[in-house]
Amino acid sequence: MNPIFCTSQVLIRNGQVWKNGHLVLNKPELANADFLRACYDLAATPYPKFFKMDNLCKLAWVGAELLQQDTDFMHGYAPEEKGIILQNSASSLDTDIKHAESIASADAYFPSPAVFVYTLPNITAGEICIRQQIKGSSAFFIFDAFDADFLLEQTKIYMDAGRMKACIIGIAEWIGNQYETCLLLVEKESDSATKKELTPHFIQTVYTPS
Amino acid sequence: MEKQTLIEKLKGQIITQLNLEGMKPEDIDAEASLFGDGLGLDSIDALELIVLLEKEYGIKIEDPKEGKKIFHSVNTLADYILANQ
Repeated sequence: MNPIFCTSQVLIRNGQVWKNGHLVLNKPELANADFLRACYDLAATPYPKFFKMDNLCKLAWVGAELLQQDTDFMHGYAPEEKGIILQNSASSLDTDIKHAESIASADAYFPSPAVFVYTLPNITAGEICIRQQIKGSSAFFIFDAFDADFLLEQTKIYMDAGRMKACIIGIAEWIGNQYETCLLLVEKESDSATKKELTPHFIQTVYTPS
Repeated sequence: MEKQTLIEKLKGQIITQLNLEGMKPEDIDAEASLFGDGLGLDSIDALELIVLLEKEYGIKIEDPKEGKKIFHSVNTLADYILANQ
């Protein structure tokens, strides 16, 4: 398979945001909801829909927003040339639980459509697609553990098949009070020495499961 | 309940239920359209309003075709609640 290249990466966990290896936000003292708001403010993109998203979606959305800033991803590719491949192990369980709680009592049976709509992890990918104008391949895989080899292979298969030229890949996880996302912006072509070839070893230097 | 009091209560409930971040009740024009050009609510918000109506006011909408009229604005929603409680 042909090599592919990483243009930028974002890691968000433990109250910190790292972009391309630089710490750009350090707020471990914030409650999770406040930290997500701080990430949104850091992204500095007015997007009212953000406040209707569930935690998993907010986390991945803001990660993707920061990831593509200062790159050509948003406007340098046709929407059909862009894709997204994510994975996690908890799926949308955090929101699934909230939904289950809202319908647990027959006497107070009031499911919330706004909660229910996020009871599928691929909605997270969908929200990113809407914002980043991605109309190519979109997938969200569920694995017991982070699988960098699978992620890399899937991305290469799609790119070698001409299905996309640029892609957001990575992991986005939110369950209870635990969260993390590591996203990489990957391109088929490299016209810059600053873009690193995407290999399993490179992914490991960017992200190690906590 | 007096209509104006209900309108102010509805504005607060809409802001909370629909996660309209940063919005205050005084920012919502009771006559303005809730969907489209007005508040810009979407289809999920419409479903949330139906749940709000049942949960907070005990009113179920029997005919879905009535929905467009009922949810046109905060004012029409208040009228419907007062007529059906």
